[in-house]
Amino acid sequence: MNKSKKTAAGVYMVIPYILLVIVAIVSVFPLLWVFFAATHTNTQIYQTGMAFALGGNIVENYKNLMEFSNIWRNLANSIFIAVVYTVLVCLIDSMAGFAFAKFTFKGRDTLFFVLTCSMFIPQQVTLVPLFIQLSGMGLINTLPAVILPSLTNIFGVFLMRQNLMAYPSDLLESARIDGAGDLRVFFTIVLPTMKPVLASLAILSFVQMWGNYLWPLIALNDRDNFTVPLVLALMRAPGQVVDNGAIMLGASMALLPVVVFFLFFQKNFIQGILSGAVKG
Amino acid sequence: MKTKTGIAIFLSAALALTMAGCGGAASSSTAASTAASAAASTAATGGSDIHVASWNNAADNLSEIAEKFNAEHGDNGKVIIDYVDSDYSKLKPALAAGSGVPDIFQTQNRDIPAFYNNYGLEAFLDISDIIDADASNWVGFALETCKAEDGKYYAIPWDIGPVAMYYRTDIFEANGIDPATLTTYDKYIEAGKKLKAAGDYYVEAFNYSGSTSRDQFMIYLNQLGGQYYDADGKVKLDSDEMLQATELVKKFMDAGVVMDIPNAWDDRIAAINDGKLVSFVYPAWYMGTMKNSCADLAGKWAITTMPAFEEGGNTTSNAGGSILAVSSTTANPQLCKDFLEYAMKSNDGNDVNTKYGEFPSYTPAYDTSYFKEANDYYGGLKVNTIFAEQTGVPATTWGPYFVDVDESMKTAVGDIILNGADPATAWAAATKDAQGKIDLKG
Repeated sequence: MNKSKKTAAGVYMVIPYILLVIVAIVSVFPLLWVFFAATHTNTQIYQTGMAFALGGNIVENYKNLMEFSNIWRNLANSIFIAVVYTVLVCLIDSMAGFAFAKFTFKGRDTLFFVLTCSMFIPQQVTLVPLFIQLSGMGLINTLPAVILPSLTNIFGVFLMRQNLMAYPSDLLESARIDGAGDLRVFFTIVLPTMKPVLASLAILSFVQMWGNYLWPLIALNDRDNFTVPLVLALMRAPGQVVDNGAIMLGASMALLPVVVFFLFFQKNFIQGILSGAVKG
Repeated sequence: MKTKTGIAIFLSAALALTMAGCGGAASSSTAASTAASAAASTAATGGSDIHVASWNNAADNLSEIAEKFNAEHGDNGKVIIDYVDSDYSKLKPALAAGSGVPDIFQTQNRDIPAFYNNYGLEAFLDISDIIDADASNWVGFALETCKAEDGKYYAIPWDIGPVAMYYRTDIFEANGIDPATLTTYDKYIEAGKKLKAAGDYYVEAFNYSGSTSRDQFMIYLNQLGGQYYDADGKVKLDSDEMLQATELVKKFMDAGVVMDIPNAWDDRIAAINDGKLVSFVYPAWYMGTMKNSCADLAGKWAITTMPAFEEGGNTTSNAGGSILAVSSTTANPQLCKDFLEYAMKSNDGNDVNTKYGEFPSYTPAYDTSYFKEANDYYGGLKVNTIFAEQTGVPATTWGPYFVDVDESMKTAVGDIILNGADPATAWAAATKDAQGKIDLKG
């Protein structure tokens, strides 16, 4: 009797795992397929039942990819843009969030309200004015043109403010009494405790910028300045010749940094989400 | 001045931060080389360089022409090809801003009237002089689309999409079907039934949901000489021709000889590679795709005239094609014209166009030896010559709001094929819908 109860409980324990395994297979399958497809010819990819086995065309695919664009250069561009953007967004947004959470100044709440309202402006509306502005600055077709416009990430400011609201003000007071200036308080007292939420923001910003397509498409002209998503998308544009083998190889190369980045910050990411959930 | 200093400080801060952030070497060299390439592109030889925006292998095609052109005419600036998307996402903000517009840009043939209308003719450069010189040498319908309301040309026709019938020679032969006898769609469908009985074979494929299958309707409509507007310029999708085209689509489906290809582009290629789709009526520009994506089937396919609606009826139609338009903001109009003349009117240029599968719309190109060469993929047929005989279709009036007409068409096609709606009612509703949207735009 006792034993059968135990078994029943065991079965219930197993069910979630089975479900999770199924979901894992479903989500990993397309990623694996991309890696395998990168080694096949375009024709093989279109044949149903392309085996989950390595093909022999990876060298040819690499050659075709490089012929379209120097993919290493494009990867470097993508990494440069995503990393600079991520670092700056984390810095600016945490500072702004700190100011909104802990400083009292005239019009603070109105200003914050206006800022959050700006999240409602669709990106498409801003394209033409942004283009005019940046071409006036002579920045079109340069990498900063991709980074600058989205630096003030309002979502990030909001996220940081919500998290910093719960930060004990007494701690700030005592630091100030000990003679620390605002900047010092921020960098040495506040920021270290914000690591989990900063990691969340970093992952979100990095992934967002890594996959960013529309604005870089408009702002960049030379293939040497392109980011990886641009190269892949333009190789896929309608036309007679689409070399999916080369595209899949490029996609594999683009996937790896994101996977590495996520694994690196994964622990913090989950912590950040949880801490936000409790405090927010 | 103040903002510029601010930006400079900001950027150097950004750069410094990245160096700390990701170890430096790679990122700083990226920034440095970006600056170097920006400097290089502004350095002109004589006149200023021009940029041509194009996509995919059309851009590869232009790059090869530009390379030859630059080598021969390098003293008045260079021609540089920029790769862009085919949805015009990159082009439209620049045109709206009136700055940063590429000197020359590609659009689909049917889209150029909308560009003329949306951005005004003053946004374009009049290039009538290079077209009027020998206007009769162009395929009529292609040239007609480039002509603006004022009778001038602000764009030059590039490729066209004459339609013919692609078929598997081995499978037709094994089943005793002589393609020369398939002169009407009725006979074609009968042959399809015979093939279907012999194996898992289909003689046509389109996407039942309508999102892309209206291409098939457009091919039939053009073959029947139909238009999208009536004599007064009002949308008319429930024309006799459209209803006849719809009837044919239904016949194909009722006979069970057509495949549903939900993801039209990729599924068509897969169906060909799987040996299920053994014949279909499609434009010339598909040859390049087959050669590239269905390489294993080389030598097994051939091309012949498409069937007619009735015995002795019209067997020509056109689907797709593109044009190159010139921006009025160009700093070097002469170089733009010289390049377009070379790319579209010289034999050297058109040989490259032919090589890349951009079927020329300049008819003297049809006499070159390169154009007439046998094509091994299609069993040694002179395929270009076969297609060149299919270019006499009447011009289609696309109008400035074809995007709206197109949207309504997609809905109607899905309604008719998937939901079994009555064709006359569905097309009447689509007509009203499209005209309503156009009226709103005034």
